[in-house]
Amino acid sequence: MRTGKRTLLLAFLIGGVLLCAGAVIYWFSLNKGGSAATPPASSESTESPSLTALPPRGTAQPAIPERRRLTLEFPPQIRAGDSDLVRLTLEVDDLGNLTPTAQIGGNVIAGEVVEIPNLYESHHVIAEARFDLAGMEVRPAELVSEPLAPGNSVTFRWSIRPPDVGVYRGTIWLYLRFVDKQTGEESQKTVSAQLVEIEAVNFLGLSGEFARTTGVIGSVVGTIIGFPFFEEILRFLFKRRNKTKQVKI
Amino acid sequence: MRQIRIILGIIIVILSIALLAWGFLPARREIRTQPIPPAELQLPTPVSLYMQTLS
Repeated sequence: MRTGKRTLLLAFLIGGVLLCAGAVIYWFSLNKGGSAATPPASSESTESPSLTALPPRGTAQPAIPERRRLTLEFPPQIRAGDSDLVRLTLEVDDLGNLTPTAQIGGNVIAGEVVEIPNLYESHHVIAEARFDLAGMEVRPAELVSEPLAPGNSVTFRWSIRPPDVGVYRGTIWLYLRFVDKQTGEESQKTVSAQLVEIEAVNFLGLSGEFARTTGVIGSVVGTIIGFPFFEEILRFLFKRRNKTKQVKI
Repeated sequence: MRQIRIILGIIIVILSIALLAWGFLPARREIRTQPIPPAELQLPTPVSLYMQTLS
């Protein structure tokens, strides 16, 4: 009886430790989830717009009178066999400065207002995106188009599923297609091409789905085998059932 | 015999919980933000016009 109590105490202690460990893992995963990274400066990412020469007044190219921000959200690591989402958002940057800035010989000249024709008035603007990722299941795999309206955000979503373990590298392309409202003439511009690296992992050779199933079955089996009070509960229930049957007879 | 059974059960439970924790752990997400100035959102300049502007 004494040994039984000691085992019961040990079982409760182990249960408590496991619960604490689970809580710590969950807390760490929540903290890691919000990590943000800024891509390295490239020809595509122009943090400070510095133009070598401004076009003369009156001959400026029609442009979109907004400063926008491109946000890419993806899982750098994913369980093999599981699916996840990749999201690309082209949103309006509220803090954007629309004043054109020129940089000549290291001196920055700011504040010269240039009349830029509004592109939305003369053209239909369509944002297009494509996710090229060899070896991984990507849906939709083809080019996705969304009309771009003034002040509105555009979001593209892809569902990805790695069939096997490995490192998958790909590119997310974002284009703008301009269609002239009068002539119907089309032109396309590449806005961004971001390199993406996603690692598909497994746990001791088990895929995500298999690990979850094994975990559920193992928890039930381990609880029945290992916890002594389970046996006592079952015995108590059976005794009660037998007593009820005897009373009925 | 009883103690061996209990230890075996506890090992199975620990392994199963480790598998469950790994299986349900939410994937870490990376967020990249890139500002795009209006200059990047304008019509592509024809080469001839670009050369004219430079000269």
